[in-house]
Amino acid sequence: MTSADKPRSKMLELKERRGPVSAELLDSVRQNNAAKTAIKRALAGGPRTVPEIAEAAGLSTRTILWTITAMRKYGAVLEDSTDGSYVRYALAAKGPRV
Amino acid sequence: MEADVLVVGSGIAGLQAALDLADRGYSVLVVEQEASTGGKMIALSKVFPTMDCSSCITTPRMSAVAHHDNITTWTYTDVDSIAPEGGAFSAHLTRKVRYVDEGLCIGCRLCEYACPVEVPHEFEGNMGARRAAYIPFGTAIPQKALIDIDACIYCGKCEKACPTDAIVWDQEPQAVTVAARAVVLATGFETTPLDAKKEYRGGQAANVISGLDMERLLAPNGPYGRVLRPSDGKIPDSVAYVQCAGSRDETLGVPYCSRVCCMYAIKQSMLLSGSLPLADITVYYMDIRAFGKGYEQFYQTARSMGINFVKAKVARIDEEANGDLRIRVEMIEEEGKLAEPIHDLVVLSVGLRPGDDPRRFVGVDLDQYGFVASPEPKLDATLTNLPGVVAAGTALGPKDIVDSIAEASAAATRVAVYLGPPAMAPHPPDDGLGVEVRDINAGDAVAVARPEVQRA
Repeated sequence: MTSADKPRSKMLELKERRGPVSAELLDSVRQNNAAKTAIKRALAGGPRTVPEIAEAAGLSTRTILWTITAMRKYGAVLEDSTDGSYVRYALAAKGPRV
Repeated sequence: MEADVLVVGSGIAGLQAALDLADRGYSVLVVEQEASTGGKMIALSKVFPTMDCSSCITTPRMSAVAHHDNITTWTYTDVDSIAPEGGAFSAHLTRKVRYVDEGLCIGCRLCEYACPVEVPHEFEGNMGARRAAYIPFGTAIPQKALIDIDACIYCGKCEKACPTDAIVWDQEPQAVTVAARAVVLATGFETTPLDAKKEYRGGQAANVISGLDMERLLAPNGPYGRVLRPSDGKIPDSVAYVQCAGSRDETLGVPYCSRVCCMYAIKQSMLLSGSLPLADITVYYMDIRAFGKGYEQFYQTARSMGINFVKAKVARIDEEANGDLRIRVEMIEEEGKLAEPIHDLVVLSVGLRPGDDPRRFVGVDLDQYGFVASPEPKLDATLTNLPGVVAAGTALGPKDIVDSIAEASAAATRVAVYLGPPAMAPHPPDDGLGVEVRDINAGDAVAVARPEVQRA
């Protein structure tokens, strides 16, 4: 069976109708993934605060906090303890749920 | 589709009006433009002056509406027009596209966990994230997923993850016409934009947030799970409130008092002093309007807790390099002395403005600010100029939750008087097929045999 014979996916038909995914969206997905990777790398050595992770990752504290918030929501990161005015975050022991 | 009453909006006012009418035996259709019922109230932390948990009060009502035999709820539905027709109304609605079959979705969130796209979550004041495939929020009713197609990259992971094959890529918006004998407008409020006053740096400085944003920070299920400032996750040592940052301001076209900001700022201050016992909390105000029952005592309690109330006008807010905020204030007392205190986090007490322009779909009169105008504002506040159309809650003007609920009940009574007694036995909305759409979650995708309904 050649690809031309396969039934068209409804999803791809919708994509065709709506036009290509915007470069901005793809770029924001890439940046988000890069931030997550940087956070995981920074936390591999143990719990860290947002400013510590930002310094290690070379990203803004605002970006790190937003990404950590998302990772915490979806189970990849946990609150560990507090260090003065900042919270220390740690990688979830069992790894992300997804 | 036919119903005795069409309720537009499912915030606390719409929910209350729907329940009151349904309990009296009228058939009610509730339409909500968002993907969940609950309106603004479901996002709040606690309510003043009782300090009840807001979602603990709202979710039972959302649930009661969802499960009421006499109520059908359509979320994610726009009202296009409501026109008088032969002594009743013909409403044209559009059921928007979720790309998810509500009848099949079991709310397991596996699509959300599989989705690789994260975007700012509006429900969390954009401080948290959601995914392109998502359930609106934890206590959403219905617990049904939807796909934000503008954020979708067509990877197909949601479809693969879904255990019930509920993802429907070729779903189309559905135009529906509903015949209703009366209409309740409960279209609610929006806040004045955070960036309305440029000198306060809202929308620019990360640590200048709105009162509704602070509600999410204080909510136990909020984005950070605790109160942190958005620029760097610092636990704030010093929080300031700027009152009337969007009301009582001719330059914004909002000269009226929004009636709730003093009380929510006081409430939040008290909650903050609980969650951040070491933090300094300052409220810069013009005058405190604690007008309701128990409100003045609430204010005095806050003062006695050590919250610093400063009668002053805030002229400008500047962001320091470390994210701190320098506030230029002119004291109203102390001979107009100027001061420039620095705070970690600033909350703008933004005002209330109309949530929707109902004239977009129905010919009701509005007041000069865009709220629905009653021809009898003192004696019959919920009336509109159209017989059979009433309004309730903040659609009529700024008001707190207590007043919104009382007004919704008043509006329901007005509708009952207008319609006359309902049919003897309570009856569900008639979809013309001799079947009842019982499950809010299923929309009209699942139809079940109508049970015998009897009054106790």
